[in-house]
Amino acid sequence: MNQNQQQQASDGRHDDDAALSDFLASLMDYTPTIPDELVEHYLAKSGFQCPDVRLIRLVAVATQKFVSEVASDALQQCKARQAAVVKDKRDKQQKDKRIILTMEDLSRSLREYGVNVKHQDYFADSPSTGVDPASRDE
Amino acid sequence: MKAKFPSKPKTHLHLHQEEPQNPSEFSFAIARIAVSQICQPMGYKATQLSALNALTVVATKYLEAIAKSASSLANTSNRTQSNLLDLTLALHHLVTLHTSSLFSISSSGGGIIRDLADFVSFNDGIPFAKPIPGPQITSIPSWASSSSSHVPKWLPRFPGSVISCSVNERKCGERLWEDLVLGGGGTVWS
Repeated sequence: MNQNQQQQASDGRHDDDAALSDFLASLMDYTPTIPDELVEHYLAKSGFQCPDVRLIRLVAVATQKFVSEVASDALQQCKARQAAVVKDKRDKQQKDKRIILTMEDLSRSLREYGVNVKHQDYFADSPSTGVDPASRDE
Repeated sequence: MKAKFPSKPKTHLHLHQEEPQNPSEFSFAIARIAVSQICQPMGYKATQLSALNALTVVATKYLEAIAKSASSLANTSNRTQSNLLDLTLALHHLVTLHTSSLFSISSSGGGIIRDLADFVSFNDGIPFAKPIPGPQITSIPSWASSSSSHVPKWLPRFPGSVISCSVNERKCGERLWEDLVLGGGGTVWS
């Protein structure tokens, strides 16, 4: 019984190893959007040393996956907001079809990943800016 | 301020910004182009520049975070070069930090690699838009030909002519130590 279980576990590991080596080989065919030189620059900056190109491609693919996930979450936020807006004018419909990556959508989607990107809503000159002039003491 | 995405891979981004002045700005500009190329196939027609910059900063910090944790994991195992296991564990740390669902990640860490393999097989590769000029490495003269025995031979030479031209001789005939060494060729100690 024990031997059977051990053999099954080792077979499973063989499959995993085969899948892993296949994946690493397929990485060389796949061209990640982030170029290898850029990835190498940032890796060297942080102390990561590796002569293997496949690992560099792996890091590039992981970063690309992260960025695409964040961007797709922001896209969903944008679309959800557009769906909630009442389409009363035709101009508004036409304009809303253009999907734009905004800071608001980005900060909302990044918050789920633990990154806090807050954008100032407005900037004021002094604490009394925007206050009704009649109530201000001059 | 909004920037339009390039419609074809080979057109240029018309950003009204200055040329990058130093290496970090240069790499940041390249990263920004790569990030915009990743976002474009999703259906975005345009982007706010500040949003694109913020996303690029986050992407570069993510890269550096992976590298830092992988290299520290390698160092704790008495190694200077990281291998696949270090990288997998580092990715494991990052992914468990930013997702709340733990069920998709197996204990062996193979779940992440499987996710990446699915990502690779599902998406076509998007090559980078422009060729990157490599660093210009001119031949560096070394100390091998010099007779100065106190300097290791594998170090590059001082740019000797530059230093000697810009040095003014002082009142008492003093000269810079480097000039004596370069000019005298090691005879200072005799």
